[in-house]
Amino acid sequence: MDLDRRLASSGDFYSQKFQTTEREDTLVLNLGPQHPSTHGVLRILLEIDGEYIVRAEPVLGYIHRMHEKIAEVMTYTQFAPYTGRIDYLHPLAWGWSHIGAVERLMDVQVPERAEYIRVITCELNRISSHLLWWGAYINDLGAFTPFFYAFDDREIISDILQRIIGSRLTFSFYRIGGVATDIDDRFVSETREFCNRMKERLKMYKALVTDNFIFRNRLEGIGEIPFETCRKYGATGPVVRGSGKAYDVRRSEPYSIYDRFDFEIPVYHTCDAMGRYLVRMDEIRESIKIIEQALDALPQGECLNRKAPKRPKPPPNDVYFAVEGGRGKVGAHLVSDGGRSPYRLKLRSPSYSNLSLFSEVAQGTLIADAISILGSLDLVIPEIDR
Amino acid sequence: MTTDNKIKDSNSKEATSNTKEEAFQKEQTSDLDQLINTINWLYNFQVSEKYKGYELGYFVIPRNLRHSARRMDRAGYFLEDVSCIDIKEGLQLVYHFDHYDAPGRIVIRTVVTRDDPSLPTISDIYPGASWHERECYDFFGVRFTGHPNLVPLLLDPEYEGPPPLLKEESARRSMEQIQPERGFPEGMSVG
Repeated sequence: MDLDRRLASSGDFYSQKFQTTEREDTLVLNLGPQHPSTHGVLRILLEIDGEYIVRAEPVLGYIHRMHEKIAEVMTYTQFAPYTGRIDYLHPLAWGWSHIGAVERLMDVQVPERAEYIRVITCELNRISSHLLWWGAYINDLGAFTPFFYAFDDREIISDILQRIIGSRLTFSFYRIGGVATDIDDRFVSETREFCNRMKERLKMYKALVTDNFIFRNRLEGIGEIPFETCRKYGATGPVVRGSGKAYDVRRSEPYSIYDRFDFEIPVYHTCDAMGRYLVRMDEIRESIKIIEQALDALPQGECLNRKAPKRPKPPPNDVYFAVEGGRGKVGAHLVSDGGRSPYRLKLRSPSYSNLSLFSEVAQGTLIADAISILGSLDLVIPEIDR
Repeated sequence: MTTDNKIKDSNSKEATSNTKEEAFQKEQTSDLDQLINTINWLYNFQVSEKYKGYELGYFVIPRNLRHSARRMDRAGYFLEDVSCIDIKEGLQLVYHFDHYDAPGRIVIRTVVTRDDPSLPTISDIYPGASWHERECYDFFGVRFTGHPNLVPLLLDPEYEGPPPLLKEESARRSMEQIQPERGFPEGMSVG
C-alpha cells in the first residue's frame, strides 16, 4: 500500500501515466532526456521485460520553442533566420522551404544563377548532415574513431560554406528572390576539390565501417519497418527509401531546377537499419553527382532578383511548399491574410513523423537494438520539438 | 455517385467536372477519379492557378471526416500532416495527404465551432495522425474524440494558459479573407 502510494507520486506526469501496466514482472525505465544516444533531449519511456522492450513511448517537447508562433509575430524576412535553428544539421533545406513558400505565394522569379547556387549549397549541406549522422550513429553503436573521420570531412564543407554564408552551423543564406551572396571561383574550385576527395573517402568509409562484420551484425535485420508501416505513419526520406519506395520530393514534386540533373534515388528493399544506412551513404554519392553537374552548368548573371520585395506583403492565399531535407520531406504550409507577417505557418518536420513509428517498431526488440533503430532514423530533436 | 448526396452543394457539380478534366490530364484517371467519387465532400475546391502546391482540395463536414480518411487510406495515400487555422468561423482543420507513387497533394479541410472544438480522431486509421492530433490539442485546444492518449505532446503538461496559437478576436480573419476565390458556397453551414 505504502509502496503503491510512493510509486504513484514518483516521476512526472508522463511516467505516472505510463506506469499503469497490466504486467507485474516488468520495469519502467527512462531513456533520456540526457542519454548520449538520443542526440539532444529526447526522452523515451520504456517498459522492459529483462532486456526486451514491451512498450515504448517517446516524450517530446524538452526544447520546444514554438516557431509557429514566432512566425506569426515576425515579418516574412525576419523569420528566415529562425528556420536555420529548427534543423541545425540541414538548415538550408528548412530555409528553402520557408523562402520557397513565400516565393510561390508572391510569384517571385529567381535568377538562374541563384537556383544553381541554392542547389549546390543545399546539396553540400545534405552531405554534411549525412556525415554527422554517420559519425554519430556509429558512435552510438560503440565505435568512436569514425566520428573523427566524418568530422574531418565535414570541417571542409563548413569552411567552404563559411566563406560564402558567414556561419558554420545555423545557415541563413536564401533570400526572397535569390541568395544573399554570390559564389566566386575559389568556392567553385574548393567544392570540386572536396567532391573528388569525398569520392575517395567514401571508399575508405566502406572498407572501414560498412564492411565491418560487427557493425553489420548490429544493423542487418534490426528494426524492420515494413512499407505499410511507413505509409501509415507518413514516413519520408531515407526511412521510406530504406523500405523499398523510391520517394524523393526532388523527383516527385520537382522544385527549383532539380529536374535538370541526372541523379538516382537510392532504394533498398531490406527495410532494416542497414537499408536506411546504405541509402544515406548512397545519397552522399548522388549529392556529389548533382553538385558536379551544377558546377559544370553554372551560368553567369545575378544571384538576387532586384525586383524581389525586401519587405514582402503577399496577397491573401495559402500555399504549400515542400523540399527534400536530409531526413525527408520538409514542408511549409503558409497562410497569408495580406499582412506583413504570416497568418499561420505550419511546419512539417520529417523527423516528427519518422519518430512516431518508433513505438511500434521497438516493441519486442532488445534495448541495444532500440538504440540502433533510433540512430537509423536520424533524429534531430529541435526539428521534432520545433 | 456519392453515397450521401444530400450534403453535396448544388454548385459543386461544375467544379466536379473541372476536377475530373484535370485528373484526366494527369494520367492517373482511374485512381484519382475513383477517389473523387467516393469522398463525401461538402464542397471541393476548384483547382486553379490560385491554388498552389495542391492537386485537389476538399471541404467535408466533421461527421464525414473519418469516412474520407478511410477512403484516402484505401487509395494508398499517406498522411503528411494535420494542422489547424484559427478563423472567424471557428477552427479550420487541415489534413494533408500525398501519395508515394502518384504524387499530388490532396487536402481535406473541415471546420469545427469555437464553443465545442471536437472532432472524431483518425488515429486508428492513420496511427501517424496520433501525434499530429495531440499537437493540435496542444496549440488550439481541439479535442479529438476517441483518441487513445490525448495528453500534451510538445507543451508542458502543467501549462494552464489558453492554447498558444489561438488568435485574439481582432486578429481573426474569415475564410474568404485568407483563402479567397476558392468559390465557397454561400452561407455554408459549419459544424
